[in-house]
Amino acid sequence: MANPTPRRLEVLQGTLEMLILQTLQWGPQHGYSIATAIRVGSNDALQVETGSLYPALHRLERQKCVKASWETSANRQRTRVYRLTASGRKRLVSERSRWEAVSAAMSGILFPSKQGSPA
Amino acid sequence: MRLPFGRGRRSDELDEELRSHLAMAMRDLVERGVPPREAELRARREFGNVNVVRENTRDAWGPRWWEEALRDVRFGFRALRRDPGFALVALGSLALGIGANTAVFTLTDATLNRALPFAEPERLLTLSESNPAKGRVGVGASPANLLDWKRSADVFSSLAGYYSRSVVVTEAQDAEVIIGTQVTEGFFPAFGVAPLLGRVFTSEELAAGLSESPGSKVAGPVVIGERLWRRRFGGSAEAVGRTVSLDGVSRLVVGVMPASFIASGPDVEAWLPWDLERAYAHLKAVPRDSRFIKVAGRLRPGVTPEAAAARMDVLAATLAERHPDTNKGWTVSVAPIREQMVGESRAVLVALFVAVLLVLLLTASNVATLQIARGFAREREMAVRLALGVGRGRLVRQLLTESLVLAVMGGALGLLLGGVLVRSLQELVPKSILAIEPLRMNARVLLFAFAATLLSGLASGVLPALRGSGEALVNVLRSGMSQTAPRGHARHLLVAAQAALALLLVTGAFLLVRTVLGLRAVDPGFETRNQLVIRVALNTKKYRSNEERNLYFDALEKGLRSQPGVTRVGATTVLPMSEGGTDFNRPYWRADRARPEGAPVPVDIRMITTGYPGAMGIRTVSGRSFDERDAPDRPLVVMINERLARTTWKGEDPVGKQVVLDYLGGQYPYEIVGVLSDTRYYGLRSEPRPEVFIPYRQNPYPALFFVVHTTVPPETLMPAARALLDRLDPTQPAQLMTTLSALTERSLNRERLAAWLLGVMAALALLLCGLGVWGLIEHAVSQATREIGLRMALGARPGQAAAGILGRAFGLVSAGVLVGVALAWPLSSGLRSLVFGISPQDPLTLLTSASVLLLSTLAASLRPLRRAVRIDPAAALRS
Repeated sequence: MANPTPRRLEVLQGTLEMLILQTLQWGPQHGYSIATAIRVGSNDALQVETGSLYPALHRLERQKCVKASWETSANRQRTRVYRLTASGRKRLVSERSRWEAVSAAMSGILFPSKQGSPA
Repeated sequence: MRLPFGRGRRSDELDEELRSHLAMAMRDLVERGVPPREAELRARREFGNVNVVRENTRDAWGPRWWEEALRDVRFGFRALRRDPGFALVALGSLALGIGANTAVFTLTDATLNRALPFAEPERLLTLSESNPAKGRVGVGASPANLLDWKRSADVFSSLAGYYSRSVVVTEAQDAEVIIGTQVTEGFFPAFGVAPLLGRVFTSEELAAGLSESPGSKVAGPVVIGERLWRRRFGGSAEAVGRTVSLDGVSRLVVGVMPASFIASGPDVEAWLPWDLERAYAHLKAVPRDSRFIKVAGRLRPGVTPEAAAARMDVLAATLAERHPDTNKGWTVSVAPIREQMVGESRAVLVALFVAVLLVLLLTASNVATLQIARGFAREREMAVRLALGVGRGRLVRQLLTESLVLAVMGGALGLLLGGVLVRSLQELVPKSILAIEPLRMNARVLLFAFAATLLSGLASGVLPALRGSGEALVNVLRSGMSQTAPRGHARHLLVAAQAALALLLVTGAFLLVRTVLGLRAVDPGFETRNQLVIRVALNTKKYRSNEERNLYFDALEKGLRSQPGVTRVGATTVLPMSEGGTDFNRPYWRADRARPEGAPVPVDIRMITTGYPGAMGIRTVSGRSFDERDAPDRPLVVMINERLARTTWKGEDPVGKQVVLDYLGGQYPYEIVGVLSDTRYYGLRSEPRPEVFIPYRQNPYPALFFVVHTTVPPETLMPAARALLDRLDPTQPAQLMTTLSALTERSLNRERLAAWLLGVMAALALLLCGLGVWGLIEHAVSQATREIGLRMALGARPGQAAAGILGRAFGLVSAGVLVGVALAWPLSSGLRSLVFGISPQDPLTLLTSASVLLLSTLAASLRPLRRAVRIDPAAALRS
């Protein structure tokens, strides 16, 4: 089990949807497993609040980036499963490249020594 | 606001989804060894507030389409309330446009599309005879021809002739004149309408015909109409089997037809059996050349109207071969019954309908112009919303919704207004056009109004919506100024289109007004002032001999002449501009020439008293008028009219010459003693026809029109005339009592109605178009205020800038007018059958209409231009 008082990071405004899309890239998942995947994937650094996760999922569904369907899991739990759509895939690509550009620019400003200096 | 319904299932699903999340989180904890009780608590803690999660997720769903629509509708109402001036003008013009449309549609629908009250009306045809060479088209059948048709036209399951005439009902003291129809065998089966009560005629009754069985008190059966039944029998079921006295003869009531039975006319109240062979038994043969019987036939199942027409063509050819004297050149026309029911009014109705559609288009484009104008004022609002990320489609939908809100409100008002207009149309439209009453709005009318509303909402909304949501709007925010270049185009186009539409309506109105004026200016050939007209048809069973009839008519003439204010009194068998006279149309030829080969040309024959030409103001052109000399025992004389004199005695003086008339069962010569000036009998549009006048004394006739020339308003004599008739014989009321000017005016009914309605629509169109121009210039002036100020500061005269704006407006209207003229050219051909005296493409009328439009443009631009001229350069530049 992780640190009882873990240093939790809030997911940055506007990046949650990108993270969800990224997570769904590997296959359909339900809300709980998406949240778990993000937490585990970030080594418990990123904590996804349920109060943000579900609005984001339903927003993506309305924007037709994901498609939802009911499925019954191995332990006979009915769950709502989300899968990526074509337009969701496109959105992920564009958001990722935007994030890359933004974070590169941010790093350039915040850590000038690391950039442009010979390796 | 959130509406609860429709989302229940989705909310349940969300709850289930959140529950499954909690369950999985708990199971994870339990699997990791946390005791179940604690696991639940921890899972809940980590989950957070379920209600908040639920609410936030629901918010992500976004509004439903109807929620958005509802919001747009409310927004539309608010926007309208914020701008009451716009709302008032837009709603007003929409209400007028849709109201006028609804009313006219009700009228055209009632007349053109109504369900005919007959069984399988599509199988009902009317038959008529035509001889274009003689200028007689669509006249009735002659009795002998009808008998031949009935014998050989196997394409019809029933074929019947009918002829309407006035009948005097003499029950108790209150005698009245009604319209009755004589019907041959097959009449009721052809129309296929069941009686309200009792039965229709049996074949025995029809064969007995009009003849009176001697010794019997009852002369024969009658089928009466619902109205007569209610009036005379109080609507009692026992009416069948009772008798009613018609023309002084008792008849047995066998049945009652419903009021909707309008087969032989809307006002017919009695049907009498008619056996043609028996009716003409007193003559040598059933007449073949007096054509007056209306004929209707019901097609046998499986027979097409074309096949029937072909069959009748063959029959007409056979009859023409067998009876060349009477039938050469005559063909038989077959037409659907609807055509006869609609008749002449089609042209008026179609013209009206087109006009009113133009008004609707004009209304919609006017509202669109207003919307665009309002759009300028709302550019900032729209720009902000676009910038905030509202999709363009969303914005278009909102603006369209606003237009629809406007249109629906306008449509509702229009429907109310239409109801009022329908009632006044009912009053205004003459019965000859509106065969059905009362005029009612039905489901089709409502559907039409709804479509008109929707159409005007969309038509007036699309353009402003696309414009109002354009990308260029973003610039508005940047510059703080209104966007510039492409803005005006749509609006300019609309104003030009309005000018074109208005021109069409104004031209139509002018054409019809000129038609009415032209027809009024036509000299009918007689005076139309100060003449009272009374028609009396004597009951020939009561007044059997000429002596008895003359006694009555002499007393009537003397009584009329003794009234104060009466100058001259005369009588005739056929009066111009009126129906109901018995028109004799008989062959004639010059006595000094041989009888022409084949069928001689017929001439109209009228009996007139000596006072008639004087009372009518018809001049004696040459020779003398009739006088006491022309008594029964004196040589037979006639007068002829100028038309006959010109056609038959070209360049000669006919006075003193003789004409042979094939009339009254023989071919006798008559001496021509004088020539009368021409008169128009069949309406002001008709040309005078050749006529022969016979002195009444030498050929008495039991039905006469009395013409009373007065020095006082003729209406004031009516009570005295009625009293006189009642004194002479209470069972002989007047069939008709009116004035000659009323009769003449009545012949203009159709044209006057069309002129009135088109005039109103043209005025409306001018108003709307002027409003459009006014708005355009007003806007141009406020846009250019700074520019004008600048120019004036630089030394331009105040008028110059204003002239530029006016010039552009005139350019637009002129362009519209040109398009309108180009459209008017083909469109006004549709008015050909209505227009009189001028060509439908009359250049002067087009020119006048164009001038009126340009003048109204000028009038509409006066106020804003005055503002432009008064711009204070200093103030304008500072602003």
